[in-house]
Amino acid sequence: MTPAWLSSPLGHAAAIARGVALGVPTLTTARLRLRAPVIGDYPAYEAVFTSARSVHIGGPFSAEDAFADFCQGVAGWALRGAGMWTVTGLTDDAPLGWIYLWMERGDPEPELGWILTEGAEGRGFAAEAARAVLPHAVALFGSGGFVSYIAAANTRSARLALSLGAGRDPDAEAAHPDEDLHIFRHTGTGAPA
Amino acid sequence: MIPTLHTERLMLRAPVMADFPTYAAFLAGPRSGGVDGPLDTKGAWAYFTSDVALWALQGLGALMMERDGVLVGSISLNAGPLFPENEIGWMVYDGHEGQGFAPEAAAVVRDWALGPRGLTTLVSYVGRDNAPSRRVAEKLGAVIDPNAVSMGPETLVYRHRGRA
Repeated sequence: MTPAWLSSPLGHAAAIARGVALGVPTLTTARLRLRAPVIGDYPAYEAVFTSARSVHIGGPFSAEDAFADFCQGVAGWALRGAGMWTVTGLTDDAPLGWIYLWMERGDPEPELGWILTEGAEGRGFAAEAARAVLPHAVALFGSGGFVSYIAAANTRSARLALSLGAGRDPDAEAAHPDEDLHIFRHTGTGAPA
Repeated sequence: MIPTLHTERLMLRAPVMADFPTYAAFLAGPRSGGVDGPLDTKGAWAYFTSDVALWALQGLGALMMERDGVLVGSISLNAGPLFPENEIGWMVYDGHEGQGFAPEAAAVVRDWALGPRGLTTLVSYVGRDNAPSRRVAEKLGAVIDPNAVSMGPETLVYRHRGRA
């Protein structure tokens, strides 16, 4: 049985939740929808964050830390006007991954980040979703005002950052305490190439 | 949207980013034992973002207690993997304790939760040795439920009833 906290809210509770989530812009691309996260996304999130898929972002995490991370992404919208989108297909509402536009606790700068579920890998979804978010990031933080923090060993994400037009920032890397972190700065306008 | 509630002395409103330093300072301090403190900034941020995110995920969460524009505490409606049932908890920040703010605010939030919000159950998890919070729970008319699933051997489960 689904525990109460994982069940979708009903009635007045659903109206409150919808009202809060209204602040999150829904974006669509050729193949994807980026929408406000809902509690029903969490099992897929926990599966990614408690598995080896999260190894490049400090995981695998405990379920408790996975839930805290999910909440951080959701709360960002109300607290900072930027947070986490759930990425889905256009006709299937199941999560394919998540895009982050936020300043994580402890990060020196706002970040554009992404993670996909295992089944969504290898089809260019992360790039497509991240590209849709770039204009928002530029509007919020200015060109050059946000970065992607990518583990040195995460070559796939590094390629994606390069394909978005970002480039490594040696000064930011020198100033960051984590020596295994590559920092890609997004200096474009966010307009389609 | 997130409700704003009022008591005789307090306004209870949605959390905002500017509340976090006061919230984190309380959780880092010596009076935070009743909510598993003291916590570092990472732990406080996890609490705070859960308090905020639950409004979007479940239509409940925390409301901040403000008296004449001053942040004096918060009431949290909690849900999630750590809580066996929906919970109501309270924090009164340093320098504002002893004035009855917790029961005053929690009564209004409890009535909202079990009334318009539509919760059917509501408990408070209170440490056996946390005399001030036990007094708050008892003042609210909650009674110990010895059969309820608890969060730990030293945690009592107080069950709330709605307004008769």
